[in-house]
Amino acid sequence: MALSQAEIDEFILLRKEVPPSRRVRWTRRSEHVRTARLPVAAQGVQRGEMLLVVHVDHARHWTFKLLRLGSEVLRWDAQPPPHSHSNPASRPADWPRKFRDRDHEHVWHPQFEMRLARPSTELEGAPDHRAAFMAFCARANIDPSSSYEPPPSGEQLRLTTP
Amino acid sequence: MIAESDITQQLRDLLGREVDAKWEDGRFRVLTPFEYPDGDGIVICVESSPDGRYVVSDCGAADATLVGRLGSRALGAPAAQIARRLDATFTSGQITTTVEEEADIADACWRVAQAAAAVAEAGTYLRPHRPKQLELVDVITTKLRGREIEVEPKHKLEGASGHPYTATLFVPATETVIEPIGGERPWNVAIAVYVEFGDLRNVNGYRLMAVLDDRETDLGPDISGLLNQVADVASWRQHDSWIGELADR
Repeated sequence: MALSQAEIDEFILLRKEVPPSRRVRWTRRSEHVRTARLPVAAQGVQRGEMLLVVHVDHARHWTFKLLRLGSEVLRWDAQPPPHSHSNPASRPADWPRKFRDRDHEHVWHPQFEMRLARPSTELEGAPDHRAAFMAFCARANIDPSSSYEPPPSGEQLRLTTP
Repeated sequence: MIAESDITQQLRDLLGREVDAKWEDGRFRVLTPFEYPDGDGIVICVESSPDGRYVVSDCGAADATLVGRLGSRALGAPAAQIARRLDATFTSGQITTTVEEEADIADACWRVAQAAAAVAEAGTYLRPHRPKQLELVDVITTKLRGREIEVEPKHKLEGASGHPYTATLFVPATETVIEPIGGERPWNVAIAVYVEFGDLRNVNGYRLMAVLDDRETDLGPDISGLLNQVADVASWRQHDSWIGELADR
């Protein structure tokens, strides 16, 4: 069942909340990566989920995802420089072709799905992970309740020789 | 007519613009011309190891692009094969290679970035994501509320045995308990609901209703036969009829 633009727009605009009993619980994905997931509900019915990803060896390397029926519909990425993003050559006119070293948001599009991104001043203005989480929740119309827990503190992991 | 040398120069200029390296948090981060399927540039980490060699890695970034799509171990074998083809390893979610000489770092970055792109593409395209079907409980709730029928999800009830149950949906106006039956193992769901309804049927005169998720396929007569011993059994395809009945009560 393919997602429609109308359904995704409605989902993002819907006032949602993280159920008050739920809190962020970080789990280890790999040596450098920790993840957490939170359900997102409206009127007591779970409608989607949020996924949080942090790279623990950098001070500011985060991803926030909103999923509907298991598909990403909104995503924020922050990472240290250098990094870049390219949008397809056939992108809609109001999307940049390419940008460098900018925190950005990916937005679902019926033709390009999550391939389109644009710089996010909201994310760039967030001084820390908590602020970025709160800003993402505001962008996605989610009341986070008291679910936030900070990610494991940054640590300089030494790359190991295989 | 464009010359071979012009094309070569254009490519060199393009690649030159696409690469960058910065010292960050104790290691080099190297931006490469390769991209993940979502258009984000692939960044490789370079660090010197205590034995004097250079460790070149994606720091788990390719695997991290698959969070929410694939579990951390789902792509292990093919990812290891992809990495091996490029003289690297994929271990614990990380693509890594090691070189002895400083002069070999660029080649290693190129190989690890290629592997990172291929691993992310394998997770994205070779195992395409199939959006989950909307849960039947969401569909029922939306329909009931559309008819202005008050419905409470996860309503607590106590059976005749004293055992507590959480009804998936409860309609207070008619004291109707609604349990959707479906998912990957509908027979197991039906057994659990059979027990719940068997324990609730002698309590307080609740109306008990099992709704079969027949949106894609019929669930078979044995499930409705089992549940019909303890409850009304409705089909989702007939929802206009039974939701209308709930609304008129």
